[in-house]
Amino acid sequence: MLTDHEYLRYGASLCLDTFGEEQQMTLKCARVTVIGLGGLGCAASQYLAAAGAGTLVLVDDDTVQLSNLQRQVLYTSEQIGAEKAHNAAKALSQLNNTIAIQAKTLRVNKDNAQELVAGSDVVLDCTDNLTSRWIINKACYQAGIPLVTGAAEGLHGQLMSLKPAEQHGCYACLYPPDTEERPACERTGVWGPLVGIIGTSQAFQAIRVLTGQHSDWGVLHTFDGARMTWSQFYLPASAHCSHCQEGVCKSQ
Amino acid sequence: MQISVNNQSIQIDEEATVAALVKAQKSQTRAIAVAVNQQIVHRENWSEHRLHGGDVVDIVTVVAGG
Repeated sequence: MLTDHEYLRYGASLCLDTFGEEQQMTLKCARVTVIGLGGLGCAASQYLAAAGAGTLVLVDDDTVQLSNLQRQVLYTSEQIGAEKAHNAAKALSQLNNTIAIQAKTLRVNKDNAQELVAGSDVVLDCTDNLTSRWIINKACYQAGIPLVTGAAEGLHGQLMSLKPAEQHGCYACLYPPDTEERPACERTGVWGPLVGIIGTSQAFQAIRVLTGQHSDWGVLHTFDGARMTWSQFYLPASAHCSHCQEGVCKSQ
Repeated sequence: MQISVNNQSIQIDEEATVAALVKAQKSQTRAIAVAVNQQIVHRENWSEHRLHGGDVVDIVTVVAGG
């Protein structure tokens, strides 16, 4: 049951044709794990918190740097040097004090990934490197958990929702593990609002996933900020993929 | 034959493969994904996948920042 406070807080969602009390309750009961609290994670987590995602788990091992503030909008000048996960949780709990927020100051790796994603209804990959992206992809496929992956560099963004139970490809089918690592945002540059566009799109897709309204599984959405255009490409599964074709959960 | 690559029309040999196109475009092979007619062609299939006149090819550079 939603409380009177929640009816008021989420009134603008509840009056949508495709969204009602049932969907809001689903959000309220959902556990959403956001890995990476940089530009994408700051944008995504704000809209998830505001929308009423009941439990938000925030994972990042980093601290706030001056050069982050151009795009990582949950942090303030006073927080330079402080832990991102903890400060993001603090800002989000001010935005919505009716949800549970867990901050985990650690870096996702092969050994902790499965434990980090376990029990999540959806995972958002908001990290900034290929190695973490492959680890998260593999952990989600092993656990059968939907994954919304986003990325942004320069004027380009990429967004994809993956459901291990479906037959489409996974992140490693798109970018196999011999793909070349690229330098971090601060070396290649990134337009601040671009991480907002992709991060809020991840939140949008996550809410669609949680409320059963998602339909574009396995579609790579690319955003070209120079032309202000989106393109879509379907990603089939690769028969040789070491992440999604070997001993993973397809039964969910 | 004529195909489109990233919204630009180009001429390419009849029955050229995705691998030949990638080489001709001097793309960084290990930092891209390739889609033909809006469907990703896996890297292991590039040398077998033959292109046809009118194909729409997109070479997508990996983006991993956050």
